[in-house]
Amino acid sequence: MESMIDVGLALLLIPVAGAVLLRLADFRRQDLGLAWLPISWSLGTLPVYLLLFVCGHLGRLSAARGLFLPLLVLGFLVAVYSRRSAFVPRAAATGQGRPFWLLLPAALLVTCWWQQADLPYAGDELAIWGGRALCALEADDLGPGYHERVSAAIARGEQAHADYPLLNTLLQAWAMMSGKAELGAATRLPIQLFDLAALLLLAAIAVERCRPVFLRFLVVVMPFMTFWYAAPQAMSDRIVAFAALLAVDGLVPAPGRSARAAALRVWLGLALLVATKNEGAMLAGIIVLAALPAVWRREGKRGIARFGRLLVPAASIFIGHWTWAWQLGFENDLVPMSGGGQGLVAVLFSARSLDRVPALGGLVLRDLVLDPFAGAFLPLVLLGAILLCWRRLAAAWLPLLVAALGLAAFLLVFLATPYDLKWHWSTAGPRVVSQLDLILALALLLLLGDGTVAGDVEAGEISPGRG
Amino acid sequence: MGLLLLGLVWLLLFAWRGLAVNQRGLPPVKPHLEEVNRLFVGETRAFLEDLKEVGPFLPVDGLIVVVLPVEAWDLPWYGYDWIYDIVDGLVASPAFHLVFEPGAPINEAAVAEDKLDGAYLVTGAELPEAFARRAEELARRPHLTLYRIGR
Repeated sequence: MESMIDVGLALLLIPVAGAVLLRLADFRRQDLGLAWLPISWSLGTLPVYLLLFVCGHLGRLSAARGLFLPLLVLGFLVAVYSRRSAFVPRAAATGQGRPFWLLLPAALLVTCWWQQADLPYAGDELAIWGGRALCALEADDLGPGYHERVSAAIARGEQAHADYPLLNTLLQAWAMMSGKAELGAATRLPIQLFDLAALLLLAAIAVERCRPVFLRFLVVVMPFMTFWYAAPQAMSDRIVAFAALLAVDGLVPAPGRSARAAALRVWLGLALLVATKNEGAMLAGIIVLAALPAVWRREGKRGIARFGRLLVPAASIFIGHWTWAWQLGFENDLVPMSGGGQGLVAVLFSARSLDRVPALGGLVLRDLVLDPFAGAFLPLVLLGAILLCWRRLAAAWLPLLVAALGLAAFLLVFLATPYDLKWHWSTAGPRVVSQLDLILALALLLLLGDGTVAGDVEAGEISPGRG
Repeated sequence: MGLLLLGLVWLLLFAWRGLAVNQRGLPPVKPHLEEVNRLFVGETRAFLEDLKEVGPFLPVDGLIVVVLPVEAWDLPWYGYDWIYDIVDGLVASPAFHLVFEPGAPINEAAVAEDKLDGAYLVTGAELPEAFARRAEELARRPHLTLYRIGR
């Protein structure tokens, strides 16, 4: 119990750090409405990740714990004494709402976690994310000591995917540095809290963008009643889902939202995607590609330059991570850079991938369309909403395009997997594709809009980074 | 009105399929020992093929457990990827479980002959004492992962 309190206090520092960073960047709570808390939480995870990554690289991972609090206090003092916008009147953002109403869906999610609190810590959460956190803590670095331990664990068949980005792993290490050095409920908590943050963010978006109360309640609650969101596991898919929702929401204009608030969502979402998973980096690329034509059409070269600035944090994290992975010799098993194994690209351009199309189509239909296990029937409901609100389709084109491209990219990976298709799908398919659920939920909210079935809207305009 | 109907249909779909599927999808923590009452050891593939026939007709409170001494993702490496073809036909039975026992020694000879010591069926009327002890021992292991196979 004492350990849980220590971990709780250490995790409390994360949203506090986020709030301090928001204040330093001249954001007030009213500027972000109900999204302030989930954004504070997710923003706060970045300094924890970066500090641990740098300290680990310098060979003293444990030094991060001692450094974090003084840096936080320093940031807090600067934020308090700068007070840049104290006398500048600004309109509050839309989507303020009453936080009280968020308690019910949040309580539903926490109840699901509570019911399964004794779920064994095993599978991918151990072999990919948690096991590496133990290795990092044991070695007290992210260099040779870490490499030696992870390589040995992989050779024993206990771990896999050493190349994966480290946000999840380092957040679990952060929890262990503050409590007991063992994996369990305490180390799952920082990862699970991204689900709670996603629920609060989706609720904030629903309040801001959608009027029909009954439907917006369903859109907020249903995705979190699915297996992949309701199970208390330390999987990175939930961070990817949250980050993708944040980035795409930032790219779809909302009346009353400042361009700064939109830009914050975009760069933070993309940075979290890249820091979390390789699929996250792929999804970040898809979001950027999907948004670029509209930015170019509306704002020309200057718009592209502004948009480009929002990619700097994600690009820095991507380059930093892959430089580190390359230095340690970690490479991706699906796209081997050496060794001559039959990788993703080779299989994709072979007849084997075409043969798999019918089988994969059947799996997708079963697990994603006709079954709520991973997708909460969102594709079916979305189809109904498109038929009913087709005039509002233009408002929802970006999330729909990102979801379609994301699904296509994920399915291509399964078509070209060097592993047995059914095995690979059963271990990862529904879970990976469920990362797109929250983007589908956003598209649904945009389609429902003001609740008028035959409403007419103008095409969505993208203007991140202006102002 | 159309949107209200859409929401109601969604709720009904979830109530009809969602709750049942999610219940099946959530990995249980331990087997219900009071329901454990017959041990089966034999050829894994034949055993599973038999299950495919009888699985959907087993009582809901029955329990079928198959223990494999490997992690789920190691199945293809040991040539057990066909298990997925078979369990696809078993998802109608909520009583079916696959237990993966990582860390257990792998008997290569048994694997070559398609005989796994740990595959057993639990149903019927009697409860052999040796099996009850084995099941209790399994349930106590902190590293044991019990998966319900379902969609």
